[in-house]
Amino acid sequence: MPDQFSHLSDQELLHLYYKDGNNFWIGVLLERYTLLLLGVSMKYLKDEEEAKDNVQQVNLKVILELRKYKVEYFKTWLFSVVRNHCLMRLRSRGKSTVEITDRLTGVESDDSKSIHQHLEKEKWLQEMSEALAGLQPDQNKCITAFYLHKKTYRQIADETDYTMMQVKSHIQNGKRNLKTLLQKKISHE
Amino acid sequence: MNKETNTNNKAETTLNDLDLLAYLENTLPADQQYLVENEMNDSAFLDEAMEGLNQIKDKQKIPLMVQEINFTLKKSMKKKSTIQLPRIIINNQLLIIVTTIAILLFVSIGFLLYKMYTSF
Repeated sequence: MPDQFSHLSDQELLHLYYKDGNNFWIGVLLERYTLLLLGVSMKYLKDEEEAKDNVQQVNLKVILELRKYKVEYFKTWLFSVVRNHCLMRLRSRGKSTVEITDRLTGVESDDSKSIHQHLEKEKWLQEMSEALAGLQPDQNKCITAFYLHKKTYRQIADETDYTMMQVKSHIQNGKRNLKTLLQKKISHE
Repeated sequence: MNKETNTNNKAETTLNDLDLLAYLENTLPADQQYLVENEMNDSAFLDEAMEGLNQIKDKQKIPLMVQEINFTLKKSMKKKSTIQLPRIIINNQLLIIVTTIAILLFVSIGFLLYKMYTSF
């Protein structure tokens, strides 16, 4: 598909589709996400051919589902479609040992920034520094290096004894713990 | 593979497929690496995708795999380029035409009836 539509947002493309019913617009939209769909499929299915096949099935599913439902937030919806499709495939393969992450259980939502919205900036920074102090030292170190000093995973790994995977894990766990600590503070007020 | 992709809302980010592939191959400058990682921390979709893509040993193959998927997608699009949506969504024009004709009919009938009654 030509990339001449890169100036259009997902919502604008969806709007065009719902207006004239032309699948061309879904094609443009889906091509934007092929790489991500392939990546998510690989994460769950661990096989390149199967992952490719999975993306093609997801594409067809999206075309069918969009006819039936009016989707508002395409990216979030697409992520749930591909993940569910992978899980379905794993189940039918009889492999139910899927890693249960916070995301699967819905604890952490995509692009969630709700805490920020509830606190004024000054107060929030104060609360944040207190909450940071309440984190485990390794999480505190990684979160501070990443968010305050804007260092990459590799740079943090080079400066510490952690591997890149550990750095990533400390940041993600630290973020989640920070969220919990801040939520507790809010509920106490 | 050279278009802006994944992170969808163009105004929000400048990341594209090439950046992501460069990140996977560790050829991205540190400041851009940071942008990718920051985006990964904010987006579960991107994070899981990068984790999966990292499992592909030969990273050079990824653009070809994407092309192949897109080619199949285009083929299936050509087969069914237009689908039937509910008429309410599709045919605004038809609705306008029908309404106009109905109004004209009502006015004509009304006029005829008026003429008939006034002639008696």
